[in-house]
Amino acid sequence: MADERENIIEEREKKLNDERQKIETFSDFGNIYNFKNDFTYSYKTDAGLTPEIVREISEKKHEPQWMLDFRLKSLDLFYRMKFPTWGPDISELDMDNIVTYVRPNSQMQGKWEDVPEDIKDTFDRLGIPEAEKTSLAGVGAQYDSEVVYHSIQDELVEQGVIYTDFDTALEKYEDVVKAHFMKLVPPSDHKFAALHGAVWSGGSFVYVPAGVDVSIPLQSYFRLNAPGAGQFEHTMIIVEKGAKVHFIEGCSAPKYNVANLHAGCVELFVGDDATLTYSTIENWSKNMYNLNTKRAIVGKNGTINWVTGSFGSHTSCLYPMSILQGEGAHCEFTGVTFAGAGQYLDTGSKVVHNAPHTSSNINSKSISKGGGVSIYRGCVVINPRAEGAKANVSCESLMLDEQSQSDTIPAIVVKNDNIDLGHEASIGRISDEAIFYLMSRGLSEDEARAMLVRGFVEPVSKALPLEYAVEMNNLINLELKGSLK
Amino acid sequence: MSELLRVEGLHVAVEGKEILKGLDITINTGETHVIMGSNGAGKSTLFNAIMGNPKYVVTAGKIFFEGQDITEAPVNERAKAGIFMAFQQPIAVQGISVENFIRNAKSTVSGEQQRIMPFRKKLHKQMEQLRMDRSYAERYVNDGFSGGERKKTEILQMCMLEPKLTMLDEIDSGLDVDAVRIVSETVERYHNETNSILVITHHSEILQNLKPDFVHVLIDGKIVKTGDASLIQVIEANGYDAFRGQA
Amino acid sequence: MRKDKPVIEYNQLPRPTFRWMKVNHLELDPLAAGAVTAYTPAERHEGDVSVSFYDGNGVPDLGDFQGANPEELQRALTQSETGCAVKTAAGQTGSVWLTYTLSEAQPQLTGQLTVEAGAGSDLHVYLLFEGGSEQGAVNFLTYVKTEEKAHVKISKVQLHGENVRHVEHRYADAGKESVVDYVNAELGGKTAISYYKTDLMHDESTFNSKAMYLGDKDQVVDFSYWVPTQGVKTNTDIVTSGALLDTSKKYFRGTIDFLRGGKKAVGSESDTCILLSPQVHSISVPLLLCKEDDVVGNHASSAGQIDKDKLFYLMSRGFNEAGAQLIIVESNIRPIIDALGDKDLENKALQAFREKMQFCQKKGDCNAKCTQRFPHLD
Repeated sequence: MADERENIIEEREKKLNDERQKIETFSDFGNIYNFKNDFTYSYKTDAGLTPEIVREISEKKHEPQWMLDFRLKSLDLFYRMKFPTWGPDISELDMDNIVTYVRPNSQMQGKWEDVPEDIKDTFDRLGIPEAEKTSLAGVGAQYDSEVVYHSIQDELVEQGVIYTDFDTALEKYEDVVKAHFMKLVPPSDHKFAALHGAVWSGGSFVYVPAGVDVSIPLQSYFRLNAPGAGQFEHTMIIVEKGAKVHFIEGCSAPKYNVANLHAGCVELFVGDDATLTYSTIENWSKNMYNLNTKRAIVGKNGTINWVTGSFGSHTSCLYPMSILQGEGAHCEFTGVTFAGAGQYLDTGSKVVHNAPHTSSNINSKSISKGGGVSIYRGCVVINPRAEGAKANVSCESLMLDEQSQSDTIPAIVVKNDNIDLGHEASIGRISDEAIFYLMSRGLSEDEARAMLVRGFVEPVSKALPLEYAVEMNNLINLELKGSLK
Repeated sequence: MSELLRVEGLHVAVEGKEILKGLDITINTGETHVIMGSNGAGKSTLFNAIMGNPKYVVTAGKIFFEGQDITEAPVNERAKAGIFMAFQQPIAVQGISVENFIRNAKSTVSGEQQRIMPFRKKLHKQMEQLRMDRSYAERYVNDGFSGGERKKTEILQMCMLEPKLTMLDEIDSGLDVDAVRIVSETVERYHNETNSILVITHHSEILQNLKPDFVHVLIDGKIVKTGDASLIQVIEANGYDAFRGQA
Repeated sequence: MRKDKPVIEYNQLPRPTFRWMKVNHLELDPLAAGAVTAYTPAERHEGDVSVSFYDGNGVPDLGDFQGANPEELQRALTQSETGCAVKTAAGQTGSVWLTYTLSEAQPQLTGQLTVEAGAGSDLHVYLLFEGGSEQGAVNFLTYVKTEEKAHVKISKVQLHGENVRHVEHRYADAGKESVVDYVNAELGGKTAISYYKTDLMHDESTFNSKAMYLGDKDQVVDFSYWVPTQGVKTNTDIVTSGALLDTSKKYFRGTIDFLRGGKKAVGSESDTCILLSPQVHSISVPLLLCKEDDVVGNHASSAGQIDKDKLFYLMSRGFNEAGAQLIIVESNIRPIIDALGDKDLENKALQAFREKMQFCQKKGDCNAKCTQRFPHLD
């Protein structure tokens, strides 16, 4: 019920606010995600990138030979490939200073009690164990390079659902992994995909058998605690024919003065008539280079839903891609990007229509303030085979002040005539008329602005599960705080 | 009866152009006033100036509300003091539901946090009286509303926010006969000896229910004639030209 | 991509995007440059306007303007075969008609046109490009400068033969409260490339552009616009509308660049494309770049087949399918042709359009006949 939801959102927001105020009293960052744990680890590689380091990672993980070969081949590609000629400036990112592998001081556990106190404390503060109890069917938690916790409800296991960390998957389901691993995002795709292929570690593996409807979401939470490190988790989700699942990923990290790098890879295989919802609330710290690659391939009458909120990172390049391969496949993308001071967030969505009667609907909102740069970069390609395809793109950008920047860079390529394509974009600020209207009902200017911004991102918060809608509202309030006089 | 609003020698300019040129009006608690006048005479300007729209610059004169000088007060303070304007062209607020919006506004204006369930009950009751479908409460404020729906939503806000002074800026424009009746009945039901109504209209239908105590004729930025309800017939019969000489 | 084959890149996007999409520029085979021969276009003018022809470089410094391609721009700047300077003095009004015709004797043409309007003056330039040859090519540079409160309008109809590569680099520097208006009908050539940059650096300057096209066979139409706005209260309105037949391709690359300080700027771009054959390609890259919050920017693009409901409606009134199609496509592009502002040019454009739509195979002035067949059209 909508009203209950509203009620709960309000209560949770209040609680989070109190929590935040508490934290603010002992931290001057004013960010609940910013607490740091002492940096402890059981093993880490040296900074930089050499075949020796790659061999070391593979050896520590007791991987099969084909995976080591794959890593070395990817590394070779990484050396040879050029950096992108477009997009944000990543020259400050010095690969020689990034630690590619940090094994946390813990083995993978199935019970929170067994997770070391300092790591558990982190996830407690992020509310993960509590969320698991109340609203999730399965949880994975990654700390630096490895997953420290994984669990899934027994009844799902009985139905054949697999949700596990990637190392376990490689061990237990080697054939499936080998058949799919980096097939959708080959290392040759771009330089950071090659990097990922060479040094990936951690991540989640999900398999939903045909016809199974996983009604409660699964969630993986990624926490990067080590300074100067990279996180390269690999997420693979296979949803068989007619199955349904909602997967949520959350990301955060404390802020350090050195650059951290996130170059994860997400490969989603959505079968015929299957539905996958992939939600992300990304709140990496503002020293993070988030160069993540996400891609889905969708079978006949299948659906991929992307819901993303991008709030964190110093620099982001993130364009979840949907390949609509089967007839009638559908993609829905709902995203909001909020760039504050010092942030350069280049995000968007890519859709390729490869089959008849495929459809896509992209709805993107971006906000920039305090000198932040937010960019919508997207593409829609309708190939000759995709007769009767429908694509709709809407991008709205909101500038909250005159120091910021907001660009819209869409590209649309249509290669057959039997299609229907609409694209709209607008850029501007909150209108004085709207503020006056709200103030004439008694709201202060700050309240009026905050309300209009919340209304602006409503389509995204509506698409999120309750807990995440709360978290997102909270992040927005956090971002708006201080910017409004 | 005590004085609620007093406007003294008000001059107002919009984008550098003077629209009101020394306007005086006093409204006591419990009264209903009507302002009539041709297009461009300055009626909406007066409302916006009383509400405190920053685009409408007061170049001379003062506005008092309950004896307090509010000429410089920001718009939201005026709303909190009990002034309400039903906009001629209400703004759409995407992403915010009507209910959520009014509840927020009510909490701010009244200074009391509105609890969801009792508030909703009251809202639904008012919506029923306005013959508005309940589903409107969950729609975004004015987003995709027809002209008539927007006007009804304005009146709904009035009912919920319970202002001391309600200004209706052509609330009857774009409404069909039934809607005019529903709206005017709702306003009349709301109106009592503790609040006042100020109306701008071009049509006399709405005034049949509202029963004005005073009618003002506004020509070229000034009130040129004030009388009782009988003045309406004079205007209907002769138009505004008869008053122009008096400006 | 084979690297051994030399290519020439046109219409580079000011802010490039994903390489694999191949939308950052247009890649073509290079053309061999022909011999340089002096050329003078047919000319007439009305009103208080001065028209002079010159050799060599008559275009002032273009700053960092790169044109559709830097080398070709350089060639147009330094090896021009024809130069024409059109000027109106302060407060005066005038019109100029220029016709550039390709032929086997003049298969290629490199030319310049400078258009300068003094304060408060009103200058209308009508450009007609026609004719063709086996290896036809036009490399044309237009420079526009408007002083305070001046109005310049350039109406262009391009009707080259089907082997011609037509490239126009056009740069405009709009003065305070001045208006730069472009109306284009791109109907001819094998490849029609326009690269138009307009600087709105001065307060209350305005740029309006309307362009129509009808691609057929393997034709490529490529429109690039780049409008940086820094003056206060500038206005930008870019409209492109057309249809594609056979295996033709259309590129639209529009960039409105709201720079910091350009407060109260309003800018919009729209790109509408009707797809009439299964193998056409419609590419649209409409950028909005924004560093100023007090602006309103919009863009819309759409592509699709003819609206079935409209088609049904018209056919229910007795038109056959082809006739109904013509009406619908024409209703889309007609406002742009009508905005050319010269009956003769308008008729030429309309006739070329209808010929391409294959409703009038016979060459010649058949406008009268067309209006008999479709009386509602005029």
